[in-house]
Amino acid sequence: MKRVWVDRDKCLGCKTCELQCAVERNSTSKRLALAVHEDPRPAARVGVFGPTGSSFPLQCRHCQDAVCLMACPSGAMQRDPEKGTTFVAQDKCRGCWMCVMSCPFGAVIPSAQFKTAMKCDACMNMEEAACVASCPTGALVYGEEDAYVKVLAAKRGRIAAYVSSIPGSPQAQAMGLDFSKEGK
Amino acid sequence: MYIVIGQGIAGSTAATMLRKQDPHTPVAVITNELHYVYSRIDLPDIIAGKYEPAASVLRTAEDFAKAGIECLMGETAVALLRDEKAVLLSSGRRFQYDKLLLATGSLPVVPPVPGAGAPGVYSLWTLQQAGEIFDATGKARSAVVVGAGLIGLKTALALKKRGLNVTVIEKLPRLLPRQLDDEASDMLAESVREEGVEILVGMGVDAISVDSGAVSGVNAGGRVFPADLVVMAIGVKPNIGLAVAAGIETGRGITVDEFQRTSDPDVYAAGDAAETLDPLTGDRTIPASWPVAVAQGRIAASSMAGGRATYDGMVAMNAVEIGGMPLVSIGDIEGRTGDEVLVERRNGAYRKVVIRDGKIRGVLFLGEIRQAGVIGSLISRRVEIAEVERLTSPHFSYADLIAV
Ligand SMILES: Cc1cc2nc3c(=O)[nH]c(=O)nc-3n(C[C@H](O)[C@H](O)[C@H](O)COP(=O)(O)OP(=O)(O)OC[C@H]3O[C@@H](n4cnc5c(N)ncnc54)[C@H](O)[C@@H]3O)c2cc1C
Ligand code: SF4
Ligand code: SF4
Repeated sequence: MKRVWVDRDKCLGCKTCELQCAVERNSTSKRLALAVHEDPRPAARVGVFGPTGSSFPLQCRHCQDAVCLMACPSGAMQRDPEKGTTFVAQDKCRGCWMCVMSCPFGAVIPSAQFKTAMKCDACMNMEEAACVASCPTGALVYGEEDAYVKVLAAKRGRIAAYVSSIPGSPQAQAMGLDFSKEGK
Repeated sequence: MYIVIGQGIAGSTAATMLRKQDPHTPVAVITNELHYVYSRIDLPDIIAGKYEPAASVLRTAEDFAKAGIECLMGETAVALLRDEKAVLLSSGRRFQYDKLLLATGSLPVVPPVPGAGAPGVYSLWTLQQAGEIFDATGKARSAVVVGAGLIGLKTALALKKRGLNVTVIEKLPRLLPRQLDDEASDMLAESVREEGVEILVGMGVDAISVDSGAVSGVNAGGRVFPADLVVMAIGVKPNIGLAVAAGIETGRGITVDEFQRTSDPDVYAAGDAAETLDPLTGDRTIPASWPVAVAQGRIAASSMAGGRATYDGMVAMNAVEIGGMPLVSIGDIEGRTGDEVLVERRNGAYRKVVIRDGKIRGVLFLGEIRQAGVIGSLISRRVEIAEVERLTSPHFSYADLIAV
């Protein structure tokens, strides 16, 4: 399944992806200069976390065995059968926050204004994900898991973080994180 | 033949999984409800008039049929004849099974006070009951909700939206007694009162007053609260009647092992009706929540179809928004003596994390709930926490867990 991958080494913590996500996916004006004056303030579905030097852009991992899908009592949290991407059908969302409670990555944002859950849908209806397109250093990549693992292997010796694809399930002990699988 | 009793989320999840895992064996779901599979979480909003009942539909009988599952609605399973491996229905029909799933869910508890059976006194668990309460709000002027749990508070706010004078009476000294501590309860009570709902805690109900055959008030704490509509929301209990009558082992719920199997190897139980092991305390518990019902339904289906997947338990947790206050409560939020308790109060939000022996045991976030799942998932993973200060900070995130 194609996903947004993160090369942690390349992230400078500039938050361009956050801005671009908020502007393109959550503002009404779709322009930064206007978006900053909008009320409610446009929110990003990707967040750059961690101290400078080891910051990390974090968005939904579209887990294979996604706990948010199990937790959602309204059928709002769904998976696109073809792309495998998980997304929130806003009209069905009841703002019960079961998904916020369940997601081990903190990827779901409870929108205080709209009373619905918001999260990354990998810009599934767009040409390219806004965050990937905007990242000035190439820390965000969109592609197949296999391809990404290969890229990591090629960069032997560097630490790149990659979130393994079967976290989430309570059986699987919530989450798995592999440090780049390189050298294995 | 697989038979599933109950079309709640545990039963319907299991039926769907059974169809997938074993496409050649017929699956039938038997339920005494008259409607589609719906989300119980929508019921207060339906009472409030915010949604039509149809907005709560998750699956209809036609959806089941399309998936190759037979769904019999309006049929109560009245007896489980284990010797013959058959279930007897209220209509007199009999069904043979190879494997049977009891997904019979919960029943609202009605306190044994005089007058509790009077017309005008309701419980809320089904769509039908939500409809009845909605209809009753047309004529009613004041309502008393007994119990300040999740269902009680949400129903009280819904009744308020319908223009009634609403009073909530709770026996214990705080709201959402199982999900909140005293401080969080006070904060939540303030938001609920701001919505115009009266709240009285630490007050037990003694009787329901009845006048000319209908409810007229609630007697509590030596006073009489006038009411022409009463909702009993003191809690729910597992619906285990069928299992008990059939001689299947039960505690408070139907006792199951990690495969969701009961004491009868051909009978399984899942969801609110099942009693499982709490992974942290080792006690037998009934988590009674939506995600647990889904998880157990899946495991039960797998086991019935011959799989070996196990249910490893889920920590008690709940999330809800009440009176504009979002809250998430996971695990042991009270803590005991000797626990390290981190609390942060900031901008009207309250964030608390309970740590025992270096491991997180409870999370209570009120007002600001972002990242609750990150910390919550550490509870079941039993991760040793080295640096605790940041846990309650609004800047805490998954990145902190992988910062190396
Ligand atoms: C207002 C409200 C709000 C809620 N909010 C939340 C929330 O925010 N988060 C959360 O996690 N949970 C919440 N819950 C609880 C959640 O809905 C339940 O935990 C969940 O529905 C349990 O599913 P279940 O399938 O185990 O049981 P149920 O949904 O109770 O389904 C059992 C089914 O079996 C049928 N049945 C029983 N016995 C028989 C029989 N003998 N013959 C035929 N049919 C039978 C019943 O009619 C019923 O349809 C809420 C519940 C309510 C009412
Ligand atoms: S559990 Fe979290 S990260 Fe995984 S699919 Fe759901 S929202 Fe995304
Ligand atoms: S907040 Fe919305 S998407 Fe999340 S679990 Fe509740 S209804 Fe589903």
